[in-house]
This record gives sequence, C-alpha cells and structure tokens, in this order.
Amino acid sequence: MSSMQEARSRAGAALVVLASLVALAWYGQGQLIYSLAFLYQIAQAVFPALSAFRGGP
Amino acid sequence: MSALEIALRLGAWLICTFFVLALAALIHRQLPLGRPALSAVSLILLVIFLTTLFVFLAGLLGLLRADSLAVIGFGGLVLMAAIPPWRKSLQQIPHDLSASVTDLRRFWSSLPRWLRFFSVAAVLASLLRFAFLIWALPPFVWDSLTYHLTNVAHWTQVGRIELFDTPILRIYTPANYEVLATWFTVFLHHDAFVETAGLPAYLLALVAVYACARSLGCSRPASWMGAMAYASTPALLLATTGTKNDPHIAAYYLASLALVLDLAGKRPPVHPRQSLSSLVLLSITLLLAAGTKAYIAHLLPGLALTALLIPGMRRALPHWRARLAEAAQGWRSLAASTRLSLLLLLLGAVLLGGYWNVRNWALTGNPFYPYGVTIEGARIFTGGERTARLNLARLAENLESLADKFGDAAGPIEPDLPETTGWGWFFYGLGLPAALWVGLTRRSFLPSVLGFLLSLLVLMLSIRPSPFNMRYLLWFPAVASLAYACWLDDLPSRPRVLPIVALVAFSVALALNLAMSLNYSRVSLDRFGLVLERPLWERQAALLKLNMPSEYEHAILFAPASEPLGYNVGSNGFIYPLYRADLSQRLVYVPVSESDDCPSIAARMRERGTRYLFVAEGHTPGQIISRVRVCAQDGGSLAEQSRGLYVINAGS
Repeated sequence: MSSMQEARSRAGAALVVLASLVALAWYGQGQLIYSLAFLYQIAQAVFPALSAFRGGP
Repeated sequence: MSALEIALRLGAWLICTFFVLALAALIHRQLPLGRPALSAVSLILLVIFLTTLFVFLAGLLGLLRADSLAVIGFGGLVLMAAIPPWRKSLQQIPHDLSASVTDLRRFWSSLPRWLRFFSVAAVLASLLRFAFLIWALPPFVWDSLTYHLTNVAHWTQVGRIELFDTPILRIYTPANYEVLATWFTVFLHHDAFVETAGLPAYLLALVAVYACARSLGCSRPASWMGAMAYASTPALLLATTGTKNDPHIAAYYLASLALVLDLAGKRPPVHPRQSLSSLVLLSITLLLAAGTKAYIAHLLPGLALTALLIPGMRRALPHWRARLAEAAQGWRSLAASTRLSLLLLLLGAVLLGGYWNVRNWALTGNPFYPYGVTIEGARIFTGGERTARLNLARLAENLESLADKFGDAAGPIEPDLPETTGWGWFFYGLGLPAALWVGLTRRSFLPSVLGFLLSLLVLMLSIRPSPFNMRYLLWFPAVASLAYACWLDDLPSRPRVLPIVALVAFSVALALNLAMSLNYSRVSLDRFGLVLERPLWERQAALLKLNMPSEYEHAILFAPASEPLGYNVGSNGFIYPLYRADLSQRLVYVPVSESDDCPSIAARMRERGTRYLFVAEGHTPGQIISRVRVCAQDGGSLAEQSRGLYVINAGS
C-alpha cells in the first residue's frame, strides 16, 4: 500500500470512528435512559442507598 | 402433573428430538455445500424444517399427542437403523461431528484473544437472558395472545391441526411458525417452554449473517463480530422469545441471502453437487417462509436484485444458467435413492409452503383469507375482514412513518415496537456510519445494500401503516452488521487509538443493546418477583398483568376447568390466556349481538355446550358487554359470577 493510500485509509477510518461517536451520542440522547432503566432498578434493589438519589430513570 | 408423567413426557420429547436430528444429519450429508458456515446454515435450517414437517404431518393425521409422536419417532429411528445405506450414513455422524469440531477450532483460533473473551461473555449473557425470560415469564405479546398461540393451544388440546370457530379470522393465515411452536407445547401439554420456538430462528439468523459476511470476503473475526452485532439487535432479541413469527421470516430471508451470495459469487470450476445443494436449500427456505408469513414475497425482489448484480447485469444470465446446468449435472450424478429422498424433501417443502393458502382458497375462494388483496385500486382477491394493499401512496406513508421512528427517540423499545424501529445502539451508532462508508467505497458491497433497500421499499408498498409495523423489518439491520464486518477488515492498526476506540464502542453498543432488552422494557423488578413466587407450572399468561385486563384472571380463578368456557371477544381480542398454561380449558365461541335478547343469549350458550360466558373490557365490543350486563341484572337469564364471567341463571 502506498503512503498516499495508507493516509487515505486512516483518514477514512478516523471519519467513520468519529461519525460513530457522534451517532452514539445522538442515539443515546433518546435511548440511554431507557437502556439503563432496568439495570438501575436492579442496582436499587441490591444497593437500597441508591433510592436516596432522586431523578434516576 | 406427577414426576413420573413429566419424565415420560420428556422421554417422548427426547426420542422425537433424536429422530429429527438423525433425519437432519442424514439429509445434511446429501447436501454438501463446501463451506463450513453455509453447512451450519444448512443443518439448522434442516432441523427447523424437519421439525415443522414432522409436527405438521402428525397434526394433519390427528396424532399430535406425546405418546403417538414418541411411537412415530421411535419407529423412524428403528427404520433408519434397519435400512443398510441409512445405517451406514448414521454411522458417519461421529466423523461428521469431529469434522465440525475441527472447523470450529479453526474458527476459534482465528479470533484474537480479546474477541474470544468477549464472545464467551456475550454468549453466556445471551444464554442466561434467554433461559431466564423463557423460564420466568408466560407469553404476553399481543398478536400471540390473539391468534398465534391460540392456534397452538387448540391444536395441542385436540391433537390435530384444524380450523375452529372463533371471531379471530387471522387463525387462517399461514402458520408454519405455529406448527413449530406446537413442538414446544405438545410433549408437556403446557406452555412453559413455548417461547423457545423463536430460538432456532435466532440461531439461524446469527449463522446466516456470518455466512453472508464470509461470502462478501470478510475475515472470520470481522464476520463473527458482524453476526454478534446483528444478534444483539433489540427488536430481534425481544421478538425471539415473544412467540411471534417475524424472527423466522428474518432468519429465512438471511439464510436465503447467504445461499444467494454464495451461488452468485461462485467462480468456475464449481462442484455440481454444491450448486444442487444450494438450490435445493434455497427452495426449501423460501417455501418454508411462504408458509410462515406472506410478506416474504415482498422481500424476494431485493434478493433477486442482489443475485443479478453480484455477477454483473450482463453476465448474470450466463452465470445463473451455468449454476442451473451444474445443479442438473449434480442431480444426474445422484443415486436413485438419494434422488428419491431429495424429491420427498422438496415435496414436504411444497406442502408446508402451499398448504395454508390452498386450504384457504378451497374453503373461502381467497388464498390470502382473511386478507382481501388490492393492487393500485384493483381488487385482486375479495373476502375477509382486512385488505392487503399494494400502492405507492402506502409507500410514501410508510416511509414517512419510518422517518418518524428513525432513531428510536419516541420511547423504550418494547416487543410490539410502538413508534420505534428497535434497531438499537449498534445499528444507529456503528452500523449506519459503516454502511454509508462501505456502500460508497466498496463496490462489491453495493449489490447487497441495493438488495436490502429494494426489499425494504417493496415491503413498504404493502404493509399497513401503524405504530407497530417495524416488526416486519427485523432482517434489515443485518445490512449494517455486514457493512461493519467489511469495514473492520479495512480498519488500519495504526494509530492504535482508532481500533481501540472502535472496539470499545462496539463492546459498549452491544452491552447497551442487551441491557435494554433484559426485561422487554416492560416488566418491572417487582413484577418479576410476583411471577417468580408461583411455581413454573402455574405461571399463567392470564395472571401476568402487563396488558391483561383483570377479567382474564377472574376466568382462571373462577371458571371451572372441567367445563367448557364460552367466550366472546372482538377480532383483535385475547383468547389464548383462557386456555390456561396447561392448555386444559376447553373453549367455545359464543356469538352475541347487541340486538340479542337475554333468553336467546342463554339459549346460544346452551347450544354451544357451556354454562359460562366470558367477556372483557377492551377485548369484547362495548355494546356486547353492556348487553350481557343487562342480562345479569334483576335475576335475568345470566348471573355475574365474577368480573367478566357470567353463568346461566339456574332459575332461567
């Protein structure tokens, strides 16, 4: 692979990785709270002290 | 059920399982594919197909009972052992197994160490999740409780596959999934493990995505990561144990795609037997799908497009002609007995693919009953309570609806996918950017992308616009998983930060997908606690108060299981919970209209052989509930025994 191709491949990969992080953040805005809701319930059951924190999912 | 009875029933199940597995192994040996991944697809597919066919034939003959099935299974095993060529073939099973173990070892050793650890953790977590949900919860997903499991319960109860009197006409729709689900109820005469019926499809879909990725030229580790990513799709995870048929259609679509990609990408010289095997398996898969849900027909143009584009449009015709010629050559090279067994196999597939529609055509004049069919305003088939439409206005409406659901921002992902796609963290976070990149930069991937998109568009020409219609698209996220697998192989190892960030993001996305599907986003920890207080055999669908009106609980508690229970629900009401978990409750439909007077309602109940009438808010039309209530007032023909449960007044 020529150095030009290599640089292009790295730039492409970096672009996709960056886009992925942005996309994850965008998706997480809507879904993070729902995704963790049941784990939070379990954590509350295991560690009752967590219930003291308000504003959980 | 006594311990002895459970042991005997489990024994019958075991015998029949051995019978189906042995038969699948025999046929699998006759259909060489030359690639371990495709060979695994073939084996899983054959097990699903033969199990369905076995239950189907026994059901048509009225032999759906644990003892009858055990006798057939045992007889089949003895027959296989008695016929010399079959016995010889059976004796090869250990050799085949050891070859499979070698393939698995090669696969495993190709994975980097971190991926092995991750895979073990992911597989264990998935197994535990599936096992817990199947064990803990009774069925609760809407369509299952209206018609999928109603068929299963009735067939298991009467020991025969048949139609029956019910207001839910969707029991007429193609029912191969329900036949397979019956395998999980008939032996124990109980629904404790009926949610397992989706697992074979889940496994098939997982392996099919792996095989597709391998056909697209991806390495083993990248293909496996793509397959795991697809397997983590929340919509698929939730539907797998949701007793619905959509995971099966997704699996059949992806298995067909794996076979098409292999056939379309083959370069000469090709072994004639391999082309024959692929074409036979492709026919079986599509016929099995046709008898499962009609929308597989809408996905076929996408598959066909992929099949044409991979060899190139100009070379497509000679390419496929060559594959057919090889298949014909392979057919001629077979021994007469092998040809006969493959013909019987195809005959079974035609039966499973066509029975339901031919039966409906013969009985109602409409093969798609209860759906009338309209194409761009022209009525093609009439009859039935619903209409399947195929038109451009619907496409626009569905695409608009998809745009609204895109990103799953409307709420939690639940089994019915209300206002969400259910495609999850991986699809949106990693799969979509990879699909855009790979689609633009890798020409060999383009035919698959276009095929997926065409399948989506044709499907959207016809599906009914509704908040819940994304279940028909469970197969679609696979395109992003395949793209991701292709992209991974191009991921440079330097600078180190790129692969590290990419792989951490992959692990996090899959973990979050799993986390959001742990409790179907519906069952609270307290609810789990309440369900688990009951023994396994007493976990009734009617008692799981997620979407169940209290009338169902009352019916289970107060209607005597020894007498037939009359019911009246509308065309989208729950029937299944009334059967009880052990499927012991006999049910009869009692038609009631608002113009009926009280004595004639009571007379109709007697005519149908029941003293009881069940109605429920939200499931029985309101005017009928009011009518029945009036009859129970002031010592009329009926008396209200408990909420929603009426009994003929002794004095009337």
